[in-house]
Amino acid sequence: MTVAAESKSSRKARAGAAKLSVRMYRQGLGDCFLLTFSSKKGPRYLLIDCGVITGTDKGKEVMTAVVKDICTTTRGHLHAVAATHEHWDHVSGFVQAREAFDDIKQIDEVWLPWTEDPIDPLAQKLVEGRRKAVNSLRQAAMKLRAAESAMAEPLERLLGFSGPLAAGKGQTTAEALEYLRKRVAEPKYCRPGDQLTLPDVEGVRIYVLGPPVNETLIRKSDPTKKGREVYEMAFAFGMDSAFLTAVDQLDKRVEDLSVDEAQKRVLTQPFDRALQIPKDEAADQPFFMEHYGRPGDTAMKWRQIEGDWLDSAGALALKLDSDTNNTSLVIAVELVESGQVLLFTGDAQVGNWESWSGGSWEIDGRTVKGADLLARTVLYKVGHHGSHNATLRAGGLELMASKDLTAMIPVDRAIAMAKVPPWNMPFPSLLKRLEQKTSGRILRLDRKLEDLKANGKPEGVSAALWSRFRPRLRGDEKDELYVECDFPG
Amino acid sequence: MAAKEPEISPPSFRRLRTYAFDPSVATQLETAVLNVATLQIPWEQPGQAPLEPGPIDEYLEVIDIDPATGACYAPVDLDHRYLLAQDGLPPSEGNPQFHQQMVYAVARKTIAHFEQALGRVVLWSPRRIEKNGDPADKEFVRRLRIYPHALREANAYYSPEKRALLFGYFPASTTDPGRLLPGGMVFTCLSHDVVAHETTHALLDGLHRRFVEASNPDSLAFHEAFADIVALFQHFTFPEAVRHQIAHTRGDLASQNLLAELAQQFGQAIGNHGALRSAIDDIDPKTGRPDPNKYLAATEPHDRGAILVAAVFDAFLSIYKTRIADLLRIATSGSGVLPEGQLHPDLVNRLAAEANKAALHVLRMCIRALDYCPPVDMTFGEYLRALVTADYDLVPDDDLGYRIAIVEAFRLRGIYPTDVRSLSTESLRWSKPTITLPIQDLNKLWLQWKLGGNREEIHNRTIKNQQDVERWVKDKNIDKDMAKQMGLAFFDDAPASIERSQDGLPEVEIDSVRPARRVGPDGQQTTDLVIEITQSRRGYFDPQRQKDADAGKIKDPGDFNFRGGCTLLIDMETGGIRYCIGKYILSEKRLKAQREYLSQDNRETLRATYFGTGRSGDGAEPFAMLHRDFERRA
Repeated sequence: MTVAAESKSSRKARAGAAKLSVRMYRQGLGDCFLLTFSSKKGPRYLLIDCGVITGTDKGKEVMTAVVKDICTTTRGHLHAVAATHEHWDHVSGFVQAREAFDDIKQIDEVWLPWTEDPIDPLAQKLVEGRRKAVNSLRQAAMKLRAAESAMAEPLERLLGFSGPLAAGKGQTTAEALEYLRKRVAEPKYCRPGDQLTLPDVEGVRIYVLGPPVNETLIRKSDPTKKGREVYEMAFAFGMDSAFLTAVDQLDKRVEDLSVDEAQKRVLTQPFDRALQIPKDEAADQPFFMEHYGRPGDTAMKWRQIEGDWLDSAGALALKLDSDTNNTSLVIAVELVESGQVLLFTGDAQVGNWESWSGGSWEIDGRTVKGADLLARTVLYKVGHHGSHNATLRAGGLELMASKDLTAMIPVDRAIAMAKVPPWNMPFPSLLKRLEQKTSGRILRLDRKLEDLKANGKPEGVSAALWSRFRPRLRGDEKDELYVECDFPG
Repeated sequence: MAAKEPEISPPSFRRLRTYAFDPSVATQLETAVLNVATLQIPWEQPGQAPLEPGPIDEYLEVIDIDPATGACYAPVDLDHRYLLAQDGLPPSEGNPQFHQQMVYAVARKTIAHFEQALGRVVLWSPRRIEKNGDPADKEFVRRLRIYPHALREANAYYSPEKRALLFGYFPASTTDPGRLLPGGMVFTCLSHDVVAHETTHALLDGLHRRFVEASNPDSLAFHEAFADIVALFQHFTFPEAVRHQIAHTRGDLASQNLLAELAQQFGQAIGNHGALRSAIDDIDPKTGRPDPNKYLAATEPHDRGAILVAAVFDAFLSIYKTRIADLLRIATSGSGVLPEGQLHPDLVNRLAAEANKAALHVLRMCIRALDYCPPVDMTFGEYLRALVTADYDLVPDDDLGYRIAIVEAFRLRGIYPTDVRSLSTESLRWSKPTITLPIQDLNKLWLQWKLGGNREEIHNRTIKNQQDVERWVKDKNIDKDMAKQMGLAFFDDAPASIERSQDGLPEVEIDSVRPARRVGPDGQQTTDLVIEITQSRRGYFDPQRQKDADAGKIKDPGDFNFRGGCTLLIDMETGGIRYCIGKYILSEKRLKAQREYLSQDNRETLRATYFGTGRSGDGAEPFAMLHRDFERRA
């Protein structure tokens, strides 16, 4: 009760001072941002993402606490909820904390990227490709685990972005998005150039910048040199089909396959069936017994290749992960009077960034330029927990010229570094550049406000600058659940 | 008796048909005539294993297991009399036995090129079996294993752990397959270039086991570049293809042509609109030269390696041009300007012969240089010095300007060593060291490692040589000052971070003891003794921790292996040390460079983020990782 009362009073105090405040929940490796806009008729709420990475200790409890706080803060009324992309660390809360979410009685709008639009053919192709690939890769991971391959652990961790490995009911990203869709009559599927609005909020424009309506750009995931982009296209179209078919049909007998499946098997095999000696018959062949041995044979095992072909699942999983990141909904919130911009890029990678950082749109008779928005950015929600590949450097971060820039990094380094191998998040050279660009105004979800007081003020940052910034920050009573920053405009 | 049973001597060669490049070349009208190359594979030597179904011979064993399909394919018997009579099976994508034949023939041919260049039989990297605490036993690995259909992906790689080549197959891109059938099956084992490339990885690993360790930006790039160089120059050993392409380019091999391109079909299948890589690099239109800054900027091993390949190919072109200058003058009555239209077939034949000769020379130069490389942490600049020195030792009189051509081509691409006073071929040669070593005890070493002979026996004697040399080193034949000059630290005052043997003294490892032949000043062929001595030191990313480890305060395994040592070339006639090619184990500068390299560039890929860097020790396949690193280039 007291918490609610306090937050109510602080809300009142804030309403005059801040045009907008951004709350970053501190749930672990994952995104959950609550934006509070002031309006004449009271605060208006936008939730961007709500999730935490698979394998988080007490993930359900943590997310429930987060959603309960959202419910209390908004008094059960969210004016809009945006889900940037179908990754567990962005959407898990919609299923993990489902009961708590049901308590939020009113959700006015749901914003999703066009890549989730059920009637857009390209979107459906991407979604289907993704789901199929996830299923196949999970099978590959299980097989690798059984073969005691060193690839198993990293692959499982990477697949964690797509949800729990042995997904039961209520544990898939698809269900999370489905829940959200059903909360409104008609979700908005956003395309670049669209403008979004919140009721009664004046002096604010919300632009949709991504994902690009261009498959090539969605497939472009890494800062690249010449030639690589083309390859990634090819990789996405059919070249992996033989691999995936083999994984899907692993341990299935021809007799048990449907006609189509059997046909697919034939086409993805290298030679006619007549030329094949089935594996179990090879055991009777002196040549193979002498030179290859039975699978697992102690003396011969060191040269056998039973599981090696499955290793390429790793490359596929990386590609899948990047492609999904690139379908991220990218939103820029512009405070009209001051010209300040708050940038939420989801986990967009290179192709997504490039589509808008150099682009421009005609909106209501005005020309909106990506580079111009970047130049006026005062809040950058750092992509993909600060990994090296989700912040475009030259055409992105370097264009953020505002001396008021603040960065929020939804990263818990301890959790990231506990993965096998350790995930280098935030990426050191990116973090260093962010520190320079923001003069040290970096908020991370693995830092309490208390930490900021103790040693959060970066070296070389003047006390005057810090003393101006610090009052804009706020946490919950226990300094555990979130950190919030005001943007007065 | 002789009259009734006349003796028939074995042939020198077995002839086997392969695709000259890969199946895609055969599907174009213009190049269809280049479909087949008939390779001459050395017939088995006395003392070596005979050819069996597989094919399995002294060097290779092709085992056709396809786990993704759950099938095996029957081994081809190349001694079948029908096949003997028709140079093996005809090229066919749909016949697994032809695949076995091709992968065997190309790999075996590549081995033959190495043996001819080095003048001794090759050995695969021995299998090291650690026995609790004891130094690893080095077990003879007679055959490199080849799996033609091991993977279902656009990849092929050499597995140093398995001593095996794994080839993949995959459907071509359905949207952008170039001239191929969309979704049609592409076999990497049917690409001459991919097979030669992977075989070279294995050969290089057999010679220099530390070259797979990424200690500087050049190390993995060198492995890739060298493998490409071998594949590339083998193109010039196919007479029909060379004649055809010389006629096609009117003798100008510097223009785009099939011979200078690598992995046509693979490149198209992954949507590359052409070959996977080309040996001809871009020329800056302003300067008419390649961009010398590219070398500094390129960090990805294939990109960086491509610069080395381009440099060697450029040197080859200069040599070729020198060799054909007189022919062109004769053919054009002295003007040197060829008339319009097609070249006279006689001229084409002569030009082709020169191209073939120049290519073989350059290929052998590149292979021979491997005996003159530092044992660890090599850079391209050091390889340049090895090239120049090796060539000087074989052909002291450089009348055709081979060495100048090489140095020039490297210099244009910004590749040169940092520790020489000038780029003259004299100063690029490794310098003669001032140290003398008491090598009389080494006279007992067995150095009859030549072409032919029982390879297992050669292996065993080589291992014994290594043990003898190790004892010689440990018997204090090298004093402290000499050791320092050799880049070693094996006295008790050496930093504690240097690996210790059981006696508590710094460990030294003798990675190689081998003969290298050269031509002496009197024109006589003589043999040098090559010894590689290395040491390992625990490296740390944090300089303070490094200091603590050096002082013996930290005992953990460290963040990375820092290796040093030297390659000694000893004149067995005079006992003098001819070259001492050192990489100093105590060099702080080198340690710092490796630390920076490992902590930054190497990790900045997605793959590194989630799957590690593929450095030895994390149990992964280094070449598979490298090749799969988003581009999966063979």
